[in-house]
Amino acid sequence: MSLTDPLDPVTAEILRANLVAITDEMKSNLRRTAYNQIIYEAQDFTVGLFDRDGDTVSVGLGLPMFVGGLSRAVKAKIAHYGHDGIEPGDILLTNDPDIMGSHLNHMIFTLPVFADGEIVAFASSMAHWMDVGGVLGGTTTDIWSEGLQVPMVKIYRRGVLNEEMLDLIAANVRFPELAMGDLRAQIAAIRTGERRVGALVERYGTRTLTQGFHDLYARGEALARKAVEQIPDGTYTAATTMDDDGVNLGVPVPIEVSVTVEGSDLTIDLSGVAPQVTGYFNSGMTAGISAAQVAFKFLTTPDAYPVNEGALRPVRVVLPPGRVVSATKPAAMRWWMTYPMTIIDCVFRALAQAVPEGTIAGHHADIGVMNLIGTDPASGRFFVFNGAAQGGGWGARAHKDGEDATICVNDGDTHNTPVEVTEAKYPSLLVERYALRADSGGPGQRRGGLGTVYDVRTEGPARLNTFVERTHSAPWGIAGGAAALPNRVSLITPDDELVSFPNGKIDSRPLAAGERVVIETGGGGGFGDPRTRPVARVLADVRAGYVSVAEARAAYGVALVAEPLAGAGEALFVRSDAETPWHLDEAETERLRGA
Amino acid sequence: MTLRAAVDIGGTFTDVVTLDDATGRLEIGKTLSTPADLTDGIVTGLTGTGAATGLTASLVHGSTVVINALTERRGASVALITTEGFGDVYEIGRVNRPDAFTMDFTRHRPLTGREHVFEVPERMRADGRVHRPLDEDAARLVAARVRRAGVTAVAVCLLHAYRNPAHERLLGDILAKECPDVFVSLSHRLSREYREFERTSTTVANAFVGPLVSDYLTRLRLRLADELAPDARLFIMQSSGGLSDVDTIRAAPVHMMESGPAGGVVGTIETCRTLGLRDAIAFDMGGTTAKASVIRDLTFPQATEYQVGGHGSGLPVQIPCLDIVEVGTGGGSIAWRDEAGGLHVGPRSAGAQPGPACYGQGGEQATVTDAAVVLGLLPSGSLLSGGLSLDGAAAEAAVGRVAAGTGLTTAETAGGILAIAAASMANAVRAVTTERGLDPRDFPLFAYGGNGPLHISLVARELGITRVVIPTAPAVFSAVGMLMADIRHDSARTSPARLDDLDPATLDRAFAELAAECAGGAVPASARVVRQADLRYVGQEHTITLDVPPLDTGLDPLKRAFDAAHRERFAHDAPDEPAELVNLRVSVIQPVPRPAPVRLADGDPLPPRAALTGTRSVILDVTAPPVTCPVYSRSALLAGNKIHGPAAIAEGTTTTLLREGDHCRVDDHGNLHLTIGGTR
Repeated sequence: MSLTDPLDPVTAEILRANLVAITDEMKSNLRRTAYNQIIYEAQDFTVGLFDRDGDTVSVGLGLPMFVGGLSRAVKAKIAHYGHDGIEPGDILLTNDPDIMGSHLNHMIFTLPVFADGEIVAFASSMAHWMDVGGVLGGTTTDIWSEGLQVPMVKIYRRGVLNEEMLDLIAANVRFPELAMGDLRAQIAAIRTGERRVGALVERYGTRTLTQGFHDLYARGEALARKAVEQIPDGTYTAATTMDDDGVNLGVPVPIEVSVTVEGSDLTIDLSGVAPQVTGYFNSGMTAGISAAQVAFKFLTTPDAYPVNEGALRPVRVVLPPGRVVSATKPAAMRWWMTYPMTIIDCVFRALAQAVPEGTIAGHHADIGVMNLIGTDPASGRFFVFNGAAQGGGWGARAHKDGEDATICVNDGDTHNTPVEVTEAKYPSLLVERYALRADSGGPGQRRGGLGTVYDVRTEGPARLNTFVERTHSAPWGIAGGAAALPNRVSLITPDDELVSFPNGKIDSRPLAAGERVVIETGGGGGFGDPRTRPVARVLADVRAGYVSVAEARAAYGVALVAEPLAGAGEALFVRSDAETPWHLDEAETERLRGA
Repeated sequence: MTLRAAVDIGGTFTDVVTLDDATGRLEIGKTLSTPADLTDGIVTGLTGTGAATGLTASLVHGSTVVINALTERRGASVALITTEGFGDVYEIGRVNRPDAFTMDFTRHRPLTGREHVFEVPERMRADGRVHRPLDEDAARLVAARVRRAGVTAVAVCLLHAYRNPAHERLLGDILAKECPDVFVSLSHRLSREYREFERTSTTVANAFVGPLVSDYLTRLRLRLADELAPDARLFIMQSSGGLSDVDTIRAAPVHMMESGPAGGVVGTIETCRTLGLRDAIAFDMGGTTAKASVIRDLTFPQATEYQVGGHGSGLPVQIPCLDIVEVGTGGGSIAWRDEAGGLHVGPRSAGAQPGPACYGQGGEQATVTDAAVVLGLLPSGSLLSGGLSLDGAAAEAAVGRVAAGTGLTTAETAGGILAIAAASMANAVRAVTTERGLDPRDFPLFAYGGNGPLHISLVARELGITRVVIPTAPAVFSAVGMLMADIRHDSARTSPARLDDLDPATLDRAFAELAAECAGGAVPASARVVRQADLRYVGQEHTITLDVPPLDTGLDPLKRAFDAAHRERFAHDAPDEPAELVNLRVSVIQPVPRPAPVRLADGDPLPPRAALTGTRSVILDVTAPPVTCPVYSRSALLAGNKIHGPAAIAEGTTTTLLREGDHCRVDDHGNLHLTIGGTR
């Protein structure tokens, strides 16, 4: 079959719209039928359609960080079985970390779509299972301690379920009924994809459909290349450090990326990223490559849907095995998602040297997980409270301030948990405060977004774990903008004493009744010299309480005084203190800004 | 003779219909909306249909006034009062980022600034216990600051007020005393469900539109009494598909949000009832969007939340609302090419100004309506409402510009634009059917709205649907539906408890309390009470809403009904797992009597000669030459008439298009039944 003549634009657009709609339907199908809340609330899943060779036709997210993961898994399955070894009615399953690059909870199901005896496409779904066995909580240092590993298997062979395989899986997970519910949901989602692709084949024929895939790639690639061409040729680098790997506490883990632009090609070189670590913050090659692809998608075709192979073609990723984001067995991977977020920010930081207006300052880069394990004093019921997704600051851009209180780049349509829901479910917890964190945004001509403060008290004894990164390396500013405040974890004792920690990872610390856990998420970095931010905007920030009077002076060179001076402007009331007016000291402001 | 009237105000037109109770006769009026004072359009419209007389017994009103004020952000300056420590809940929102790959994502934009957010010391617990009493001195201080801030409305949302509203009530009393001229909205009066951001957003939205809508309804009532129909009772159409009295809506105007679309769906349900149908898809295509919702068992499709401005950057409103999916495809949707040459349609729209190129008001960009004119589906030169006539040359030129460089002719491009639009609208229908495990081919498709009847044949073909119904007066069908709505009030309460900890008497009592709250006192014997509960298995997050069976034999039937509902929706259940009740919901419905629909005179299969008004040359297949298609006047058709495609059936500015292979039968009440692509 020769694929040369592109389809007419009408058929091409109708196919495009249908492919987006199919992965949307697979997605809502999975969300609707999944049993565990990590899938339907945290949206930790990805579904997709792939061509005969495993290239991405359309992915429905879910989890943005998994944008390239499904395609690599489908390709690995094709390589393993060969096209001839895959038959109608087969459903292939794996969670091999060497293939999907992340923690073992990510189960990947793949189904071939046949037409006239030939494979025309694959439908695939990844979803996070609540539990896959392994040690409960605590520290892991190898993959075997993290649970059940499923190599490449056919869970269905020619339409027949392998019941023994199912029993083996059920015997190795803590909540088998949840797992089986999720398994059914994932299979239902890919069968939806199969049915709807089948309808397209019936209507348009294999040849037109396949040409439609290739037209999509060509258009996606053309749009992405146009965007890369706007970036001046050159090599740009950026570096930072992660706090530690959770085991070798206080030993920073260096991250270094190098981006080379040559015409319409862009290479992201991750050779400078630290070697894999003893602790559980490793991820596999697939995650490292996906991180680079996510950064590329942001930079080039952010609004083009469906997300497909073509739009990612112009990026080449250099990543030798054995790095912390290309770790190999027996690396532990439970917290796989944290480091790749900082890789993405480093790519933006590197390119800020070339095209500051095309990029964005650093963000808080963590999902802020804490868990509290205890027994409710009133009912005697055991509980595990997972707190996360409080939202933190995003970086400023050339044309806008950073967004406040927004989920990190690893996640997309993930929501926080309402305080009222948390307290109804965990009656011995009392949230004291959930607020924006003043002064946490990086100062700049455009200010970085604000992080949040989440302060929760336990009224009974409990044990605390936290898994918060980037408490040392603050989200950076670009183009002369300043850094934000980084993430922070602390405790407040019943006598109101503050307990600080060297990092954000607390392992099974007992809490007394009345103790409070405070998670403060970082802000976003600023863009441009803060002393060039218009005074009126600084004053508006002070009035609203986003920026304190002291910070206005120190970072922005805007001086406020309590006593009106001769010729001082109108009184300004700070939100937190309605009774004491402040006044702009114009002369001092001019002096500070001139300096 | 007594008349009942309905007025539906949209962005461009104000639709008026009147119904003669004795004869079932419907009068229709369409007049331009009058944004400066919307009541002017109402008066003009009512006068035109003869409803402005003492004969009018009731007037039902629906309007986009609330949704427009919210989306255009024209409303009151609002202060927000929250529990100490939680003043930022409204600004923080739910932290989600639906557009995963863009650096320029935008979150919801609060309707009030942080400098107008005040916190009061007080705290309730989730079980309704007072953890910290309201500091009344501090509250009075806050009230004084609210007064000083010069706002015209104030929203109050305290944590767990859905469970125990005592502190909100106390604060409400203090505000009434300290700021008597300010519109006060308390969260528990609007929503008794948990989730503080959604409840806060609901309360602020209500306060934001409160003063405006309150003034508007007062003026409308006065003008109605003084100038029009002094004895007419005024009702407001709510997003829930039920009617409310004016005073209730003045305090809770957010309930008016989706009144127009709700009217259309009520109309579809009532038409289904006369036709002996129980299920249907309601499809409404206007100038900027197409909307789809699915009706099962003659029940109004209801969601418990609505997003003003769409998912992600939208502002949630936590009230019972029509469950609908909307896509940005309407008659005014613009066809455009991307940088890589790809052809797309919408979601940008030419709106009413300048409108499609063929309106001749300076629009340059090709729209779906221009494509229809190029193909002859709408005749060049024909008159539009408001004195405009369709300019075929302008449509031709605009579509020609889109065609340039595609290798397609202008006609092929026009055909392509309609096909792309139909594919996109079909996906909206799929979103309410296949995405919920339903097969659209099992449902008759009701098409209305100004553009629905013209495009429905293509949409139905895209979905494989063969049965389409065009109801009477499709262009003003939302207003028609409003005449068929019942009076309805809803109430809900979050009170999580495991089913095995509950006894039937407690539950019956809670439902009775909610029903009394809805009815504003004793529930009249003529009213129907719908009792529902949201349940889940212990440990789950999402709930299923189901009707609560009689509880005289205990709670087992409720648990079994939940297991069954879970099995139907999720394909599995867990009868041995304990279930948990989260929300109780009650609707009190007071039926409004409606006359039997008008009966058309019987005719032959062949339409009367007078109904055939002419012919049009149309392009239905861009690979074939134009065909001549007969044009019928709908008002002259008789019961039993049959028309075979290709044909056009015209009424006012709306055309029903039958393509090759489509057949139409006129029923006893004048509804058009289309068989799409079928045999005779």
